[in-house]
Amino acid sequence: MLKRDCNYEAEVLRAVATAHIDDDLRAHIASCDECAELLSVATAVADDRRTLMREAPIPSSGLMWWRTKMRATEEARRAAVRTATLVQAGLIAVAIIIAVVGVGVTVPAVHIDLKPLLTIPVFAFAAWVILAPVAVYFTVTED
Amino acid sequence: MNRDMISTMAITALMPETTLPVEREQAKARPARMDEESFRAFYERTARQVWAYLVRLTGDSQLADDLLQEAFFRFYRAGTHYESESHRRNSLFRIATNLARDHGRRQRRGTDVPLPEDLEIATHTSETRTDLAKALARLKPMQREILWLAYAQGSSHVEIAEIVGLSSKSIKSLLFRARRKLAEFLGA
Repeated sequence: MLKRDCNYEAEVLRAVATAHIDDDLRAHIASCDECAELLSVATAVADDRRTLMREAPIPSSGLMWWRTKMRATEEARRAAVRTATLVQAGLIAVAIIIAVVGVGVTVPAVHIDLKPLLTIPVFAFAAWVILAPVAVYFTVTED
Repeated sequence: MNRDMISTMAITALMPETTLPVEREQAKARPARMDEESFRAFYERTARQVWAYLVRLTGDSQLADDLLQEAFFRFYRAGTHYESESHRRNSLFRIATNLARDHGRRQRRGTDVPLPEDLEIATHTSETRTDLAKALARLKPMQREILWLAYAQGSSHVEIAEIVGLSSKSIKSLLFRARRKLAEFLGA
């Protein structure tokens, strides 16, 4: 049964990182199952990492930067289009309300005059006209 | 003093005295994206490490290529201010870890291609490395992550906890168990 802690653990890991084991540590490892196991596992993993890193077929940093920027720009463009579509839909809805109320439509069945409600769509329309370009500006300039 | 700190200081210095505190906070909180020079230098320093990590987490070098690109894109998009180089690197490894986990989850749901039967990379020639690749593949994903970060990356328990999203107290025992398991599979 291995014990969980050994005071030499940090030294073993340092030896793996520097690829050098001094005589004292070597003697300890020979008598400590935990450190022997740690040395075996950590060396295998560290060696594997070194080889993998040497073989890594990674793209150049210039190519990676270009791809990243292209994707970021494309995402910003899509977000701007989404915002613009939303603004358009809102404007159309407001225009319809104004058209309906503006021509003096009443609801005969319940005898409601819709003209006093005209102020709400007018304010809504004004708000859209002011806020829509601001929203589009902030979305597009995000990137 | 790193570039992010300098840019934050420059922004603060440019703020007029009349600026409201709330606006100052918002300007500070707004993520500043890396410029080309910083991004490329950081990529040069870390890409091979992340690729190796992803290869051993996923067991698939082609998938590691794709996840590497995705990881760097998400890292760039996050555009967060980092206190130090190690903090920045840990953040990149956290993104890579999450991407590999997401892929693993999709695989388990059967909506993606199955794990390749031969987990060694085509360029592997060493028997030891093949054994290690196969032994790592038999471990749980979390065990692979912790072992790699501890023994390949040399990360501290606190850093590992930050990357894998666990408390640092639990890392020690998890690492011990993972190491035991790997040693068993390697026949050590």
